[in-house]
Amino acid sequence: MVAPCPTSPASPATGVGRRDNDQNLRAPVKKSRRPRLRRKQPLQPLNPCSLPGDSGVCDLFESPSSGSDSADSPTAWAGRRCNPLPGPTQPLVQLDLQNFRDYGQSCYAFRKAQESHFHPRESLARQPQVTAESRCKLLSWLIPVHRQFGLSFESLCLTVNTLDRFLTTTPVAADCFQLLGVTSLLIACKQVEVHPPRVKQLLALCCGAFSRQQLCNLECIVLHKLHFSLGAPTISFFLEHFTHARVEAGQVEVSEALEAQALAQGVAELSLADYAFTSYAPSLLAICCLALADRMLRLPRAVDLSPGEHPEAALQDCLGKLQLLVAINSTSLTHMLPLEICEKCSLSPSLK
Amino acid sequence: MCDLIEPQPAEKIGKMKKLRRTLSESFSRIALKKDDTTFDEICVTKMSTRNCQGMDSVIKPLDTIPEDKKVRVQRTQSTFDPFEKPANQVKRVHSENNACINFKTSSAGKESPKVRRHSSPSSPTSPKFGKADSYEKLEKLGEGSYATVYKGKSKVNGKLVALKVIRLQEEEGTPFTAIREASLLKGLKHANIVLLHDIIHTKETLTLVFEYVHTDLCQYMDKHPGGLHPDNVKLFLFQLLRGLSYIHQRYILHRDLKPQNLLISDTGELKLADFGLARAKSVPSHTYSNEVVTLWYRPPDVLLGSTEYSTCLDMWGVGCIFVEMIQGVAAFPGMKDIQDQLERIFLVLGTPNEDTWPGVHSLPHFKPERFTLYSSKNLRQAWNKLSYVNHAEDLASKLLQCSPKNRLSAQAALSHEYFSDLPPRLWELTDMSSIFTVPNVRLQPETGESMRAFGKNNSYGKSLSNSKH
Repeated sequence: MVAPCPTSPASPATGVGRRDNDQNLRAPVKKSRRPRLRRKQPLQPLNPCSLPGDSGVCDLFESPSSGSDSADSPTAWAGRRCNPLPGPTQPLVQLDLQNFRDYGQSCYAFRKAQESHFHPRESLARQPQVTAESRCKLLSWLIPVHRQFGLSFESLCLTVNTLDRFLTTTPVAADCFQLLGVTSLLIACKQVEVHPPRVKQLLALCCGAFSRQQLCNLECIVLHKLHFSLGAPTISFFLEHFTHARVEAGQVEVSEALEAQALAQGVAELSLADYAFTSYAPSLLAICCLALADRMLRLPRAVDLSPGEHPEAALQDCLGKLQLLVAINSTSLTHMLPLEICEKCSLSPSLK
Repeated sequence: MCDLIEPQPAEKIGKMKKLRRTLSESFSRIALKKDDTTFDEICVTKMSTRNCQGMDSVIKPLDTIPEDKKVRVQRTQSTFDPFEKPANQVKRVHSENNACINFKTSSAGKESPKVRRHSSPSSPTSPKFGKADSYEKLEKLGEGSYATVYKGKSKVNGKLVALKVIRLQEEEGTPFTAIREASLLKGLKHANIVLLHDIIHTKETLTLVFEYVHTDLCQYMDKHPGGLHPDNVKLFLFQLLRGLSYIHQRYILHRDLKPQNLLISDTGELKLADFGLARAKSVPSHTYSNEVVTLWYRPPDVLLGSTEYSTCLDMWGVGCIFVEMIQGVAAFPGMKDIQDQLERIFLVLGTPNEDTWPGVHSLPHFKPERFTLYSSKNLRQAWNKLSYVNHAEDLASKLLQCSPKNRLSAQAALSHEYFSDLPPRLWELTDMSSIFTVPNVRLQPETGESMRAFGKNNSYGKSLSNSKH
């Protein structure tokens, strides 16, 4: 999503892709104890032999999400971080403008109309144990987890929506909160991922604190409480939509639009972890994240805030909070973004 | 006790493992796999209860996550949060209200067999619906890879239903197909999409209760070999496109179009069914597994290994089904493998090259030397009956385009000249109105047979009443 890379969908033969996945699944583990290095070279696949199971993570991936699709695997993620964004010469593999022309506006209108139905309001208001802080902590854990599994941003957004909507229905004990987090992740992934994580992998991530039975039971309870209404409109969807719309309208270069989208997604990920942002609708957050990203990238022509059809006051309020969020989390943000984008953007954007 | 504020080296964190028990009772817990070969378990817990702005939510290092991928998010307004509660004041919630308490007992394997129900608010159900015993199970209608379909009868109002009973596997919880089908269909209300009445959740099974529609296009074509009545083909195709246009507008792909999945009522209403492989297509760049569509209806781009498909994926299947309804035989009945399937397609449409299909050479499985070079033909040479109906060949050729970008969309296909002799009111119907509510639109008897032979069970027509409000 962030940027195309050689390992991504169009190219590899599936059989070969799988082997690469196995190797790359381990690649991040190798450097887990090193301080972050600013790489100029793309990450090379590491020889699996050089990694004698020095981490529990290998165990987690012993049945690697049987990924035949490289874009769904950590391979692609590693690639995304390290490979340059497409130059103008590269074909536009990330944007499906034709589909957008056919159905973009009607789908947007439909999703926009659904927003309030799926919007959890004050999900922690009636929680005796779960706090905004523990929610932040859980999501600060889930964000890297979803990246580690090579899951899409859409999955993460759906996870958070499922989590918050369940919290509005049911009091959850503090020591079950993490279980709810991975259960929500599982439900989200089953909807949109080609290869959802295995239950076993998720249990291992929680260090065996929960049993398979517990996870499956909670899955049933969540599905029941949410009446199987799971397909919420997400920030991810709206980011894609606005990006397509501005490219289609010729307002911005494709490469710039993709960079802004990648940066906006990073900001949006941060905002998912902060309870203060749950009061904003996904479409509002998406347009504000894009606007902020434009400023950080100093794009000559910032995104038009009107397509979201939100009142000016709400937009400015949300933008201001996002700016504060980015300011106090700039280190995290640089870790979440492709290097090229970090180098381009200013992490303390001025609002005016 | 273990107020880990600063990131700790992994070795030190290893010492924390014994604290897991104690921590599990406290505030909140993030448990991690330790990175050594003994696979000891550790849990790192953020215990800080301080409330200084921006400092109260330092997140613990996560050993499973490489250093440069860790994310620590600080909240913007932690001090002002009305819901912030100091951890040490929290008491456990009492069990009745607590979603998690029953797990302690259930892990012994004795979880409540209680029936959960989900009635969609708009479905015409009384409060008695949803219980497993509200439906009488009649004969088996079919068996799929993850579900068995039974004919059923509501004990409340005597209406016939189709019960799709999904076995809940132990390993991975609720099957993803069931989650997708239930969550998608809950949001889809259209006359040409099968209506989901109810969801019954028990310990062993998940049952989706659908309206009963008594046959499908595959059986219908078997019953009337040699091609269907041209007027009926038009009505079926119109309804198929109407249903697809509705889901494509929501960026949902069906991904498994085939005659077996198109249900046909005795009045001729066509309903898209079996959304187990469909998914909300909200990430356009997302790649999908290329093992999806039944081979005969699978588009060449997918056969060649493309995973970048969008709504045009379904449109190829529409073309195949259109030809099959008119001609009476499957358009591309490949007998062996993907190679054979592609050969059959290229035999009619011509072997693609970079001129006819830009980008085909970069598809993973496209090896020019593997395919015989065929030139493209008129479709009527392959399927003669296309020439009997005005504009049919043109529409078929616009759907059966090898290059996905050239395929007509469902919306555009509805405005094709082929449909121009249908009453204009058909384009103004509301979503839930059947096309048969328009005067003079009705199914014709198939050649040589009366409708009676096809639709003996007139009482089933009631199951369609939902689509006529």
